Amino acid sequence: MPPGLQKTLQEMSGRVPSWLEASDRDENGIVISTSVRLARNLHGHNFPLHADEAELEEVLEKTWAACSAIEPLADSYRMPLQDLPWEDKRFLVERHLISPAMSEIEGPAGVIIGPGECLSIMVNEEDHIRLQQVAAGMAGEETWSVLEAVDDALGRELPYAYREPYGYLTASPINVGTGLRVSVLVHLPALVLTSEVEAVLRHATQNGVQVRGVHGEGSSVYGNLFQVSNQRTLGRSEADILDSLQRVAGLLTDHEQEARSTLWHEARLQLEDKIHRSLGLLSSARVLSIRESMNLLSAVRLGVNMGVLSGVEISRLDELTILTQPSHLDRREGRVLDSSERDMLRAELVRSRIDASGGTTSHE
Amino acid sequence: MLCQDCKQRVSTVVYTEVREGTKKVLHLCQACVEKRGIHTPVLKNPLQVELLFKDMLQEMGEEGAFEGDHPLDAETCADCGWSFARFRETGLLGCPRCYTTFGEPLRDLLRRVHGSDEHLGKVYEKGEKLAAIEDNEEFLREALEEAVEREEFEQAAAIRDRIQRLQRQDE
Repeated sequence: MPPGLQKTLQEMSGRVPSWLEASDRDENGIVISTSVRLARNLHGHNFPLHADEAELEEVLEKTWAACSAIEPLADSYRMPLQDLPWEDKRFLVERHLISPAMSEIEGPAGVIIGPGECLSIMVNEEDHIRLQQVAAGMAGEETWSVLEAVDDALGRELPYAYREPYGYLTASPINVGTGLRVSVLVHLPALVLTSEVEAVLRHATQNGVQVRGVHGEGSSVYGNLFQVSNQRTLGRSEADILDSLQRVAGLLTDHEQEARSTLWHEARLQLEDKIHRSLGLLSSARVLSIRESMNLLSAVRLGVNMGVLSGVEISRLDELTILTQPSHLDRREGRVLDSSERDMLRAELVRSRIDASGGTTSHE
Repeated sequence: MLCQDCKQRVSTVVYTEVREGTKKVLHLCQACVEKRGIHTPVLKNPLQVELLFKDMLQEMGEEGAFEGDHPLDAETCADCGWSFARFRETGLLGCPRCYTTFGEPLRDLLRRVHGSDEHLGKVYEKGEKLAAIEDNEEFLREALEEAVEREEFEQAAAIRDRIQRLQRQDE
């Protein structure tokens, strides 16, 4: 393992990815972030699942070399994953730099991380190369234009697997064609409160998107965060895919706004009570599970967005959403904690960043 | 994939019906789901293209002579040795050439998953050139085999040289 690696991970653990710093630019705070991902493979090589160690090594070497030769990746950091301990991989998963599937891979693999963690390139996951660019708010076009430039440069250095009529060839036929997956992260607390979220998301899927809860599975989704992404990658252009996600994000934003307004007019007391209670709990609890803290942070975020709370900064909430995750807490403490220790440490960290006086009712 | 009822809109719901002991899986769009009066919670039955795809691969297992078989299961890719059975099992292909090897059944799957079998969008010119070289090489390899069979060794050597030149170009 390169000597600087642990130092780099330690430095990362104390701060949020720089793209999150611009998270207050979406005024209603509904669209949290946009990410675009491209799946690419090398011509003449077996896909990772069917490649032996020597071939994976070769793909990794070729990709490392190509990445260090291109201008858009000049300041990026290369991180080999093969000998990285499991808890460090999980830390990278929590920061969305690698996928959960990638953290399970044991052969030669790596990730290239761009400045501020806006760009990441996974090597030897399901495909040889997975490029990802992320930005705060609704930023489909912006993230795509950055990623496309990296992809163009890398495609000149490396021979990508590409063949008409299918386009970019991927290990799974699900990703073939453009290889593009555009995902929008949305925060829909009012729709969850009014129990409309199911119907609204179901309606959204009619636009060719798929939806999943970010935290938890099935009916036990917590934190009110949902990820919406395109289903199809073949037979649709990149612009068309970006456009449809933009449209769906707009649709979801409208529905969420409507639900917020309904709550404000029909259940204002209950809404304000819920928001203030959440702030109270966050600022004084001694034990917080991740599920509880995510739900409380969601309610406080809603309070700030709706002007019920002032004095709490959205950037603080973003920071806590990242830093209170299990591996982040472990790193903070310098060892692998058990879950009750984490719950205590999480409550302590939240208390140190949020105080009850932040919540003052504003009058609309 | 397209909705099995209207065959026009993209299906967004996988509906499993068990009636009198027989299971039937339907892929429907939201409008047709409502027409049938089915209630489907989106988050409990997450609409993930991965799940739809797995279902499709499994369904293909009903086309073979035995349960769970597909007529093409034993077919393997000449380049990487990956079999159609492994593909159905994992949902993943072995190498880029598998897209050509598994021809029509794969194309049919792509149509069902994406509603299309043709790439629209960014064109990678270098990739087209590489594919042309690859096709050329395959053509020459067949010619080489035939020449050897006919015992025309001079011609075979000439073809071999051409293949080597192509491979250098490829790199």
